[in-house]
Amino acid sequence: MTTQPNRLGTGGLIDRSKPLLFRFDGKRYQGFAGDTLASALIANGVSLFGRSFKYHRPRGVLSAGPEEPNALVELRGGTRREPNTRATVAELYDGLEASSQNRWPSLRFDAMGINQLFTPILSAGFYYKTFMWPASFWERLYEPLIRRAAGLGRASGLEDPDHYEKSFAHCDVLVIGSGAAGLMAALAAGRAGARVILAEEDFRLGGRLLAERREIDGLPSAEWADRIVTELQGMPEVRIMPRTSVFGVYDGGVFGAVERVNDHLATPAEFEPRQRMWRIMAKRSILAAGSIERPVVFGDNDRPGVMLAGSVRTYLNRYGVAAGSRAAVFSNNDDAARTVADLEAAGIHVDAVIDPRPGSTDMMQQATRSVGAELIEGVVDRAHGAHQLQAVDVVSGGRKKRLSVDLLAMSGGWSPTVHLTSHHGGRPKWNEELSAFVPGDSLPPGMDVAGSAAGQFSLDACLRAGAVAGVGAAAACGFNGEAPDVPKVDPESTRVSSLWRVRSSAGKAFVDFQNDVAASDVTLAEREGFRSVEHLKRYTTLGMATDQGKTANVNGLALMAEITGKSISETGTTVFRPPYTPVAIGALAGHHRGKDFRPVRLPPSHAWARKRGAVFVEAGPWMRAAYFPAAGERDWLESVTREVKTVRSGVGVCDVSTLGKIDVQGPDAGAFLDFVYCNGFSKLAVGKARYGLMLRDDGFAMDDGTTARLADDHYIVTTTTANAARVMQHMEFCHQVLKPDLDVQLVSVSDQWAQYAVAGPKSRLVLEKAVEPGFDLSNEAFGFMAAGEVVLKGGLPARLFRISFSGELAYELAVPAGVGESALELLFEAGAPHGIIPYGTEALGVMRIEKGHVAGPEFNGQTTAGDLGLGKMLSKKKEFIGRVMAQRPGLNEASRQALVGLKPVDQTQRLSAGGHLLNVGAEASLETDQGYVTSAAFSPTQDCWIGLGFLKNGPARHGETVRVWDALRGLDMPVTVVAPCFYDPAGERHHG
Amino acid sequence: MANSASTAGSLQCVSPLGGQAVPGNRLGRQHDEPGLFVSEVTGLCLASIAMRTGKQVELAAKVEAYFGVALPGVGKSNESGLKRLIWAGPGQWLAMWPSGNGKNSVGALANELSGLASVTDQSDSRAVVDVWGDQVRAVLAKGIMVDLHPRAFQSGDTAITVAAHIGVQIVQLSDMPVYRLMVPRSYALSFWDWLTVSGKAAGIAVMPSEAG
Repeated sequence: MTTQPNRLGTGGLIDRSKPLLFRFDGKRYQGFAGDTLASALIANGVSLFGRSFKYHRPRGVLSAGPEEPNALVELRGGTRREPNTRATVAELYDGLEASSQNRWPSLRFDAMGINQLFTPILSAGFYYKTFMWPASFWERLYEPLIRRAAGLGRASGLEDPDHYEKSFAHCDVLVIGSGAAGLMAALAAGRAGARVILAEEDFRLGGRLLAERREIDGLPSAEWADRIVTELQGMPEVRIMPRTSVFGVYDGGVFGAVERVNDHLATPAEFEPRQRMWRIMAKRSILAAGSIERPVVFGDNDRPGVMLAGSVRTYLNRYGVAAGSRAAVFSNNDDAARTVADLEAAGIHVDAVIDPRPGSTDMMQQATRSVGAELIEGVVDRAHGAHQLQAVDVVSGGRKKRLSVDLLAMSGGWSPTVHLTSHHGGRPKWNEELSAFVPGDSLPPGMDVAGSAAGQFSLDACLRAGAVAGVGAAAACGFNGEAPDVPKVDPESTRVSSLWRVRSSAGKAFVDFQNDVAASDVTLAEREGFRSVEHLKRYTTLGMATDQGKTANVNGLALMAEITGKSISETGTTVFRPPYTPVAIGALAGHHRGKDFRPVRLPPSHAWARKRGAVFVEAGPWMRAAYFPAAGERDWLESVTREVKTVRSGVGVCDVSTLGKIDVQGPDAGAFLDFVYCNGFSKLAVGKARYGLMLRDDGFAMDDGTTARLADDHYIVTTTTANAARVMQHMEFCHQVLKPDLDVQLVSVSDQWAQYAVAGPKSRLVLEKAVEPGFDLSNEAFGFMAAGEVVLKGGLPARLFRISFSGELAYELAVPAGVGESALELLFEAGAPHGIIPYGTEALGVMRIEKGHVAGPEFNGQTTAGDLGLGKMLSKKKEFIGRVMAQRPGLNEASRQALVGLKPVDQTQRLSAGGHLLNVGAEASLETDQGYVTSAAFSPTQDCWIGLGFLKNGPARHGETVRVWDALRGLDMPVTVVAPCFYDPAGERHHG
Repeated sequence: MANSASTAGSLQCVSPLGGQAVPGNRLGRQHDEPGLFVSEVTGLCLASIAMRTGKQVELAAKVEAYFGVALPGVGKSNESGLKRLIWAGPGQWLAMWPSGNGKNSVGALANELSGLASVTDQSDSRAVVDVWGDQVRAVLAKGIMVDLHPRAFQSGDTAITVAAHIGVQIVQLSDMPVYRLMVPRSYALSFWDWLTVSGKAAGIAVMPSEAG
């Protein structure tokens, strides 16, 4: 293991008493608690972090924050491998393992580096121009080739062993960022008594206060920050959220944030999530997100060792790490004067300060003089060195000079972090004096921007703006407080003048480091007509990498402005969408993955059915028993066939609790049902049930079910399982909006009742034994479509309906859900002598197809009552929803596709749903299409496959032979058109 | 025992979380004092009261006389002893009271309010869970978007919302705070999965069922 050659002897906010061991590309290193992976690697003298996306150029670290475009690594290994992790924000932990990306076979020697030789042809639009034809080559050749060459990190491809969660939070004032402005804002709002959330993406609060050698009220700035944080921690209504990135602003004051709860550990503690997705609802927000420094565009500006000037200070002051041993500083603004002073203070010699501004400024001159460096009025036009910077070429007054340095601190000025301000469509506006885009006039509702995010770059301005914003936001929420005193700081200069690129540069001058977009690509885009910023972005991919161009966008559009001779405000900017920084998909899913993807509904018989070995099927949210295999049965068909035969000859029980059940009460209940159903209910006798059909407003069929009248003012409606919620919603709408005058009350009782179909010729015998003596279930007393209350053995009141979906003598028994399982056992006890069996949804479906009953597949939204063979149900005596629209000529043509039964001519052939119907001999085309098969099943009573479908003019074509053509399954077979009811067409059995 | 007040004779009730919410169980973090206490509440009668047109005044008087509890306004619940009336939508309330001896007295309520409101038995339709403990709000925030901070939600307040895509009605029973959660019975197990996963880091103690 190496020592830490670049670690300074003293200083930094790291804990030197807590060494941490880690590995990078298999090699062992040591860092300290408080380090990031980047700072620890730099401390160990590592300058090469990865290879670039397109040209595979060697890359080091550009920045010290979330904007990092270069130092992307794969963090962790095995199932926990995370690609594209920014080393500059990855908090170091003991045992951390990381590896470089996009290199083969090794980081130092990369075979794809040969791409650099082809840079003239790998320019903007290269893929669009080159891989154009033939189309078939895309899938097999081009795409795999491009992916292999260009891919960044690799996902693990394995199931993530960690869990993620979501959480909601509420506050009066959300403060985003904990630098000078954010801390003052939180302090002001907190002292006023508001509920405050202070979100900071870093693991330590303080922002730039941690990175600078500044004094506030006589304290080092980091110490001052700690003092404020301590005060905030003592406020019960202030919640401090470190390691939390606010990534998006949504409607209604909702903010998306991701908290990296345990990313700083190798594995999360037991029961702890790795990350937590927050939805924060805030009445007011203060964006104090700071600003991001811009690189300067000059030749080979991507060499490891060329670093942002402010980041050089971060490594020195926060991490106690020197990013080089001989430095030069290249800056168009006065802020970099601090870098000169800080380097010298850390014992790093500054050879020269290069300032393109004529005459530079007093502050730069002073800073340069005090460290004994040379102040050069000019530019750096090229960097040299492959894996490590070795020299830079400086051009001054037409003369070129080479400086041997291993660190170039550059600054093109600072760009306010305005991203969140444009999530509601607001456009940042250009401020010429600041050479920066500042938040536009249209901010998300309730948002205020403070500090350098608003272009207020000096420390004093940040502190003041934060205090004002904090007091204002709290007051807007009803908490009046006084602004905290603004602490004293040294005066400073933040003067800047624009320098976007060094025109004389040879070599590639990168604008977007991560996507390898160079100044020459911007020129090319302009030449080829892609001049609007939106076109520039998409043609060159500028700003489209994982860093979303945080260091690149302004330089790119400034170049375009320069080339086209327009101003930057005329050129404009692209806007930002969430997320501000990448968010793991696991965090967005939270609890809802695997079996928890969506909630599951279980009917009352579920546990019982599991004990009986049922095979389950998902029906919407429900888990329903599909069939109950018996010993020795080889497949589902054998089980289902047995279940059907047993019901048709004996008796079976099926849980139909999943049907929607709606209690309709009130004096106008009957009138209301007359309105929502196409057939009448107000004249239904108490103690009777009736089949009902409901139309949509447009006249098409919506849903069906039976409705029973329990009292003059009390009906119980059932809906199909699939449409339960929709029908409830529809009926509520009809009542509240269309018929508010009707005195009717609707209450869902779907979960209150367990309901069992007891079907088969022996069902009466079973029920007679299950109910208390004295209830006469004979045909005369309780005939077909009767409904009433009974009392089960043991004294439980229950509801009984004589309705039949199977076509057999059948009942539906309803009991409160809590005794659902127990009532089922009672039925099986009573039915044991009669060979009672449970049956599932498969047998239920077979029997309804045999009977020609329409169900979900036939209620497909395109069918009318007439199509379904239910045209006679449309009442002519009353108004109802869908009545008028159902009269449209197109919905009543004889040639419409209407319900028929289908039977293969060759009865050994298997029919399946989904096939199209064609006339024999007709070509298979849309023009000749005659209809389609909706339902199919093997019918034990017909001893062959049967189906239901819709056929043009179908009811007039019984006896005809047509073809079922199913290209998906490769089927083409003749079938006979028959009446839809295959079994007991006279309906004698259910009257039995 | 179940919510079902309709228990009778030999038929046995199964509570919506029967077999899951086993009193005495500890889930998740074991070492410290549990951050979350959970108890399935059984032995309740639940009834929907839906007001008939124009009967506000008469219904309010009758309900107060019958329960000794006033009809609550929007987003509120009122209680007296073990009886509680909870707002459940415009012109709708949910009444709950201990069933006592397993007798279902929803029918009696329906008779009492005849002509003034439509009364529907809901005793078996919901899983009812009470939750409390140091971490209760932090745990509930993992699925419930309603602000439960004491400045926003107090004892007696109720909200109809969702947790983990499941409809849930929440009532704050006391200042402690204790919250009562009601979810459709068929979703009870999915709800329990979400609640227990969300509470594992806090440590969960499943407490005996409390009637009322």
